[in-house]
Amino acid sequence: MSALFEAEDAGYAAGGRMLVREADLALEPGRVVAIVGPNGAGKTTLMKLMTGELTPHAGAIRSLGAPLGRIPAWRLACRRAVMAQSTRLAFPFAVHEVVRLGIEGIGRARAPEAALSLVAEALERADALALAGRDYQTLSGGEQQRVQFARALCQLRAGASVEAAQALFLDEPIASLDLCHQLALLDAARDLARHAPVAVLAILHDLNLAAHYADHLVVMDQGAIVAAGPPAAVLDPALLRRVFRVAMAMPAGPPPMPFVLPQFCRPVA
Amino acid sequence: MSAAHPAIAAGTLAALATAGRRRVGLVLAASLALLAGLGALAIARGAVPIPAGEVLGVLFAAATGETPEGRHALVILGVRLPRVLLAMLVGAALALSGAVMQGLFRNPLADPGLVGVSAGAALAAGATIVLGDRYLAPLIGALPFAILPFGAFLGGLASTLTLYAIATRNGRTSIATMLLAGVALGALSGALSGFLAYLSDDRQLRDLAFWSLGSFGGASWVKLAAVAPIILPLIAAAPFLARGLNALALGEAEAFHLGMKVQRIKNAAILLVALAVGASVAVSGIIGFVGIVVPHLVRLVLGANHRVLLPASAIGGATLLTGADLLARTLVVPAELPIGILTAALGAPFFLWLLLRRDAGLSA
Repeated sequence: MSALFEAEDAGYAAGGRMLVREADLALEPGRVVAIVGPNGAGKTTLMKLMTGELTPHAGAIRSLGAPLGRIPAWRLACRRAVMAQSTRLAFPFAVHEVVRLGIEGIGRARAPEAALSLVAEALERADALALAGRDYQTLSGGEQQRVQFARALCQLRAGASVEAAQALFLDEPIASLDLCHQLALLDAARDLARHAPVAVLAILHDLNLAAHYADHLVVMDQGAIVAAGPPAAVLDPALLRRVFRVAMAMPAGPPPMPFVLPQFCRPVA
Repeated sequence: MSAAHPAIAAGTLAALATAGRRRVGLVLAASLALLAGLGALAIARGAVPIPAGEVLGVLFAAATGETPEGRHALVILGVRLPRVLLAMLVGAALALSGAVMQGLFRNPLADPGLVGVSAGAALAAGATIVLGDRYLAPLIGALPFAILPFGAFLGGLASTLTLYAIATRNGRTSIATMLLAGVALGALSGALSGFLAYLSDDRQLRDLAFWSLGSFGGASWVKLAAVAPIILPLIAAAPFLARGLNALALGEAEAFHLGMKVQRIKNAAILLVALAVGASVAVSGIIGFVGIVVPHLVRLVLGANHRVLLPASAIGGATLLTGADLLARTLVVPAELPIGILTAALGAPFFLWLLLRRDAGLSA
């Protein structure tokens, strides 16, 4: 049985540097995978490889056994939705139009009422319904992020009529959100994984949130996956200290939720 | 997360969508009425004023296949009607190309003039006027003026294809490279055009100036018949690009994520712009700023959705040039102003205002 999305020994080079090397990662419906790592570790590049945006120079990316390059764009769009780090618009689209783009690309003729209810449902799940009539360009960064999340949810719902198993890719989805919306977004993503079921891959910077929400935690450093597994096993102070160059304390928290406390930043030895 | 009931949410959205559609319908109907009114006015006004009743009578007679009566039938059908129709066609083509190019570049300031398409067409026209007159005329007589539109058309197409070749690597077109290369190619075409002007004699210089300022003075049924088969299908085909351009507004990667064939959309958009601008420059010279001003106004009134923006821009461009040509013909009777002077005089301040407003908008 081949994985829904799978990187096998994947490598990607740019400017004479390996941005990602020998990466192995499998996404399965029902599972939340989080990638953590310092800036420039190759997290976003690995995600772009797995979404099909970039083509690997080494190794392969497959979806249900087929190389991504062989799957037509619309079919891939039914199988996965992507929320990029930040999306600016050059033109004054209304928020509900932006969310509706999630349906348009899939190219299924749909009754206007059905499309509207998909858009409304997605907006509501992302707590962005109140923004529906606003001009996207006038929203704050956090509000824009919620609208983009709604757009991705809308695409998943629309694609569900074609693909039974789907994946959701989130690149720093909570970077601009307030605390409440950070938790709400990650809750929604985990609900999707549990009930839809959807495979979730998220790049996160908050180690504690990553550990709390992920079933599988991946640590990247200098283009390579240096550790992967259940959060409790991966969050090792020595490893984190080496990768993030920050001394960490791991107080004995109430199990099963491990948490780390950054102590101080330490220059490279 | 929110407490609202899904049915209520869908209802709110439906109300938004219905209000939007009603607004679009009203504005489009009003623009079409304005365009028709302006067209009739443009036929009635000129060096010889013609009563509105006679204009309508002659048009009606011609449309129903009868022999039109009236003293001015020849002026109406032979001179003014083709001119008005040509202005509408070129205006629609230029505004539509502007809207498509802005969607492609994800930049509201993009314009066929900016990436050197118009400059390339004008250079080819200049070369036909100056070099053709000098070296070909002894051989083939008055041919240069017959092949002038064709030369302009080839020039526009050639500069677009050059640009495209420079900006495309490994089958992917970099929009940023294309924008930069377009500015450079435009400057090069401008320099070569300047050199041609330096070489030319008085008469050629006058022809060059006429061409670079734009005019519908030479409008005829022949010219109309030459460009209508190019421009009308493009206007009809443009709405098929709307979905792709909407997705591209999010970014190229996002458009791919949404399931679009991004490279195909880019190819189609570039071809449409090259054909529409080449055909327009071929019959009327360079008429600037229509491609920037019209789509921007449409976005202000009707929003950015390309499904509405593309047809509305075509109507708006037709209206603007019909009105501008009317002014160009009537302001300094019996002489004529080049229409490019009018559109630039109106368009340039508008462009500056756009820049100021844009900066204010971005810092918010």
